[in-house]
Amino acid sequence: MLQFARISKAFVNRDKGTGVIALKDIDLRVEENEFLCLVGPSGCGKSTLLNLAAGFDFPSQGKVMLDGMEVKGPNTRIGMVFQEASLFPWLSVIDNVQFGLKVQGVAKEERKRRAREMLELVDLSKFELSRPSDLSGGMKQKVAIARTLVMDPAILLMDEPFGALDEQARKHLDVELLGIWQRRKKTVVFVTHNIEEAIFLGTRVVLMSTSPGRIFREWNVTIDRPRDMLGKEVAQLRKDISNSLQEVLTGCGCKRVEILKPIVPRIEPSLEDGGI
Amino acid sequence: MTWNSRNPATLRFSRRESDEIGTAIASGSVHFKVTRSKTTKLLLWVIEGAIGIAIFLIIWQVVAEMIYAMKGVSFPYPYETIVRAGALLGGQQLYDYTIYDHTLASLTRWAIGYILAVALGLVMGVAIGVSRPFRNLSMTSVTVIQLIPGLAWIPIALLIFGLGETATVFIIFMTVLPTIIISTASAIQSAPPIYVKAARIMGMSRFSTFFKVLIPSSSLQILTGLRVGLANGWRVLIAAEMIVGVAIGLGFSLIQSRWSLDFVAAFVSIMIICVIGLFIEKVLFNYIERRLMSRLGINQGG
Repeated sequence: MLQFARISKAFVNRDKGTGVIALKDIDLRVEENEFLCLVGPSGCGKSTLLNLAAGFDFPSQGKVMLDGMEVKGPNTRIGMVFQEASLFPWLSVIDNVQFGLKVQGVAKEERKRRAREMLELVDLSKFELSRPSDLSGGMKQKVAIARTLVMDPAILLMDEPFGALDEQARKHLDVELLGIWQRRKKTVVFVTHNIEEAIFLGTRVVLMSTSPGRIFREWNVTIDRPRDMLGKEVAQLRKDISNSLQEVLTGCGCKRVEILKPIVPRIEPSLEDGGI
Repeated sequence: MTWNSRNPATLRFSRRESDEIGTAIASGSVHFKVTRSKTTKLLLWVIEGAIGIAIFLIIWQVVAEMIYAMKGVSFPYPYETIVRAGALLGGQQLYDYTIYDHTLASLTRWAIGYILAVALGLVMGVAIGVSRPFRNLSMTSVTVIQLIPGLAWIPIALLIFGLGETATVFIIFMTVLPTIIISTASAIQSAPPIYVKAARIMGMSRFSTFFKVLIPSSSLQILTGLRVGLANGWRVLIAAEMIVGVAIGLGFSLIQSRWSLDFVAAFVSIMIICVIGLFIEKVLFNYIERRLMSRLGINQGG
C-alpha cells in the first residue's frame, strides 16, 4: 500500500532566486490491487508525484510511505514505465527485460525463463533478439512494461506511458495493460491527461488542480468491465470529470478551454443531435 | 533530412529497375524484389574517386605551370612528385633515414602524445561531466588551455623539456587534451537522463549505473571528441616536428627538404601526411564508429 502523507514539494531556482510550490498537502492512499488514474492539466505535478513515489526525488514536507516504510530512494518494490523510450538501445529486447533481474543477481537460467515469460505476456516472444530500434513505439512500450513487471514490483507507476503513441496503438495497449493488471493483481498508479483513458482503465480517478498541485476531486469508477465507452455511465462520468477539469482550468486562470472543446460536444451526442 | 539528400525512392531508376517496377505494378503485388548490384556501386565509387583525384592533379599541374611561368621557380609537378614518392617508398634514403622510418617516428610520437591525452582527458572529462564543483573549478583552466594554439606551446615545451622528443609529445598532448576533456564532459552531461532513471528504478547502484548505462549512452559522442582530438594532434605534430629540432619524422623531413631546396621531397612528405590522415579519418574511425553504432543499437541514417 502506497501512501502520500501530507506531501508538499517546492522547486527552487537558485540562479534566478525564485521558487515554486509544485505540490501542496497531497494526502493520497493507493490501496492494494487498485488502478488509480491521475488526471489534471499539464504542470499540475502529476509526474512530480510519481517521481516522489519512485524515490527519484524527495518531498519538501511530508512522507511517501510504502507498506509503512518511508521511500528513501529508488527500490525494486516500485516499478516505473516512462513516457519516452527508455529501453537501452544497446541491449536486445530480452536483455532489456532481464536487466533488472541481472542487477538483482538472479541466476542466468532463471532470469531468462522469467524474461521469456514476460515477453510472452506482452506477446513479443518473437522479438526477443531484436534491438529496440527495430520495434515500433507501441512495441517498445510493451517491452518497457515487461521489463518492469519481471521485477514483480508491488506498485507499478506509469507516467503517460502511451502518451507518445497514436490513438489506435494507445487504445490497443490500454486493453492489454488492463488484461495484465487483472491477471497479475498489480497496484497501478497511472498518469494521463486523457479522461477517456482514465475512465477506461481506472478503479479510481483522481483529478489534480494546478499552481500549486493539489487533489481537486476523486471518483470511484464502479462501471462493470469491459467498460462500454459509448455507454451512458461512461458518458455521465466523463461529463462530470470534464466539468471539474473545466473548473480547475478557470480557477487557475489558465485559458485552456480549447482543450475541452473536442471532449464536451461528444459527451451525449444523441441529445445534442436531437436538439438541432 | 537535409536539402540535398535525395530520397532513394525518388532517385532515377536504372532501366532494369524500371522493368522490375513495371512487372511489379502489372502483377498487382505490393512488395517486390529489386536486383541489387554490388559491382555497380563499387565501380561507381572507384570512378568517382579516380575523377576526384584527377581533378586535384590537374589543378596542381596548372598551378605549377603558372608559378613557373610567372616567377621562374620550379614548383614540383605532380608527375615528378609521384616518381620521387615511388623512389622513396622503394627505400631511397632521405636525411639518413628511409621514409618509413620518418613515418614511424611521427606516428610513434603522435600515438604517445595522443594516448596520454586521452587517458587524462577521459578521466577529467567524466569528472567534469558528473561533478558540478569540479566543473566550476577546472573549466576555466581547460578553456584557457584550449584557446592556446598548438604551436604556441613550443616555447613552453622547449623551456620545460628542451629540444627533442619529449617536447614534441608534450605539444601534442597539450593540444589534444582540452578537446577530449570538453567533448567528454559535454557527452556525459547531455546523456539522456531517462536511461539512468530506468536503471536506478531497476535497482542498479549509482556506481554501476555510471559505468554500465551512462558511459554507453554517451560513448558515441565521446568518440566524436576522440576523433577531432586525433586530427588536431596530427596537424600539430607535423608543425611541431618542423620546429622542435628532432632529427627524424615527417615534419622534420618536410622542413629539411625546404632548407636544402629539395621541394619535391617536401611534397612527398606532405603527400604521405595527407594519406595517413585520410586513412585514419576515413577508414579507421569510420569503421570504429560503425561498429560502435551497431553495438549501441543505433540505426544508421535513421
